[in-house]
Amino acid sequence: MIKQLSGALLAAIVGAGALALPSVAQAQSRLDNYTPVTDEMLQDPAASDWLMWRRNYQMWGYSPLDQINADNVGDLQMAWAWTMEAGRQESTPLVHDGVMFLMASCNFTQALDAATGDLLWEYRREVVEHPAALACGNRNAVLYEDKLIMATHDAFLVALDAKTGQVAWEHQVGDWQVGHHYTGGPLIADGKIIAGLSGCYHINSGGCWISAHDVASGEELWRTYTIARPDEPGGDTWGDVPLESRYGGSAWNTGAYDPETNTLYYGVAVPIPWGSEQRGTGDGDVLYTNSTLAIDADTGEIKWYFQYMRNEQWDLDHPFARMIVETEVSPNADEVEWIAPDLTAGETRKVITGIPGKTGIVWTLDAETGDFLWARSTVEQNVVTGVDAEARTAIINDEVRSSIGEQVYVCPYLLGGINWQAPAYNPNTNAIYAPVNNLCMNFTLNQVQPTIGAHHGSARSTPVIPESANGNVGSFTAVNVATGETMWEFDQRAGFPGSVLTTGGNLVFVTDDNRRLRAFNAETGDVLWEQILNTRAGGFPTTYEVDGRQYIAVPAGTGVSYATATPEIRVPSGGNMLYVFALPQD
Amino acid sequence: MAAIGKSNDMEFLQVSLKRCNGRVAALSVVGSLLFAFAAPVYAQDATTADGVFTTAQAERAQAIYDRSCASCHGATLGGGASAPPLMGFPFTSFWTGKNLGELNDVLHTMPADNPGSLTDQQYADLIALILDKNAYPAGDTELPADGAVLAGITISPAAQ
Repeated sequence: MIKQLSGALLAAIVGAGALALPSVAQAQSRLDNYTPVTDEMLQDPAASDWLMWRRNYQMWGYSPLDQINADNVGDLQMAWAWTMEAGRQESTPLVHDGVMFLMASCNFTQALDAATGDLLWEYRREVVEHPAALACGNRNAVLYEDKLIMATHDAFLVALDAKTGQVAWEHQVGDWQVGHHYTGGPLIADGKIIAGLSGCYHINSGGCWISAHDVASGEELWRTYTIARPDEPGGDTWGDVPLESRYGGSAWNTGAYDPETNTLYYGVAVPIPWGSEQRGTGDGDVLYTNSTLAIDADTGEIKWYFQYMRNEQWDLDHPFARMIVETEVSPNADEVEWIAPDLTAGETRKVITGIPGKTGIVWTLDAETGDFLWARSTVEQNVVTGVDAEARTAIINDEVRSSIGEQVYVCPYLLGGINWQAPAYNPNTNAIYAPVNNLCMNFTLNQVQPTIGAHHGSARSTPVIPESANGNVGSFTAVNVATGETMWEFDQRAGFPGSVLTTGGNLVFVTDDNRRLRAFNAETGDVLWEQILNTRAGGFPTTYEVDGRQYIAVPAGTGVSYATATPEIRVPSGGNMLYVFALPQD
Repeated sequence: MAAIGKSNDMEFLQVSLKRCNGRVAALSVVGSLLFAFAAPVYAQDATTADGVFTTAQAERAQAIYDRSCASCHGATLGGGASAPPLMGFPFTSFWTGKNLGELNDVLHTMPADNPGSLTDQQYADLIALILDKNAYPAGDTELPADGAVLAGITISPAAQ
């Protein structure tokens, strides 16, 4: 499974021509100078590095690098590009000490010289015939000590030696044959590996879990199930359904982590099948689906939970990145639909914010208690009509609930106002930059026959652009985290399936469904630079610095897409490609 | 090719396929067009139980499926996350009683990342593949790339 540049190959390259020598020699030196990643680095990463999914534990997607900034971004040019593995494009390029670790579809991983793209080593995992089509959309790995740690399409944790790509250890966690897989990558917290299992949208008994593992072996240390067990708190929210027939609760995105309180914040997806009539759970809340779980990283104990949507039926998942921010909390009632009745405005608090679910609603909770503070929508939605602050949940519009065979018009579409494409937070502007989308759907639940290992097949849906959108699907929106106000908004026909990068250079980068990669002024929303790519970019843009030069890395290729609603925008399938941009060198 | 008319008075013309070969198939369809009104015509109560596609048509759609559909709907049409299964009970329970024209319309909004990028013939072939995978019987006549004709064929209950 490992292919390394062997001495013989190196000799062949050198023998082939002197031109090959400098890059190979330099490539070798990058690995020679590679230093282990420490807990301190993870908590306070060097400006030049990108060590984990959204760069910091707070899930900001923010880098303080400012060599590329609002004054000079117009001069950006391509530094290098690299063809990536075919398949789902959801990659996050990680960088440490000038080495890029690029995990592509099905965990195919390469280490590259981050300044040139020259290959250092590669690891190809044997690909299983997985029943879940999305199993190979692997979003991120994480760097720790001298390892690159990944969570795989076949539900293993695997640690590679960062210098060689050799497997240090691997540990099976789930059973891929019943659908388990990892798409959200692992996190290092409290000296442990934390991983959220996915694939529980296939029928597998008892649902998914979040687990902690030993960093040296992968051995499991604790496990917290995302579906309440019958004899535990919340167990009765599934009615009389026995544990083996409780399905769902994938934890399919990496959680946030607060080292100060040793608390993990993970999101949980929908119950399976989607409809309560299909599940047989009646009016039950089906905990902990569509919740944030605040978990003690030491023990796995649930400190608190907040269930955004109870008894949900439209695949409006709430598993996305939770952001941790310390901010003044002063929601402006003119723009924020729902504010906690007893909120003392103007206080500075540590909050859990961002857009946790497909409704596109920004939810802001107190990080310590999970108490509701405020929430506002960013796109057309007709599911949430209010918030019950005391009950810690949304009030759901009964009009959009349906029985089997009944068609209902629901906003947003089940691909979401937002999906796993991640917003970013910039501490200099105190704003979240959200790539959201205006789409509704005609949605019909159908009859199901749950079969272990098979997809649930709960419903059919067709997307519709809501009238209020005036034909514009995409809405790139900056929301002030203190006030909830829209700072600026960039609306257009093409949707925004790309993730966001923001930097200390007062910049925000995002890609759209029409191949545009743009840099915006973070304060004003002015478009400062645009590059047309070969396709949309499903990977996560990152930035890093090598030898004093800042780079912007953008993995192009399709992950999620809203093109069904804008068929006149034609973008070819495939074409996975990593683009790396930098300022011209003198 | 989608402009082939439908007439209940016309003779049922079989598009003969000697081999499972895309080029031969395409030539055969073009050849049939030269006969002006040479579209297959089905009885008004035609259903998918009547053998409305050929095995060869379903087989040649497999490569299209693998390239354009499998990444979301799964290699075996079993569905994935938001993409519904295209075979089995969840499929047939929803589509029974609807017609192939409706299915054809939905297919034309796909692939989700590049909608409408296939030819009408390729969409018709994919319908043949879906019918085949759901155990509907094959027949001697290809399913035509004509929405009006497809709308005249009702999806029957799944074979047991």
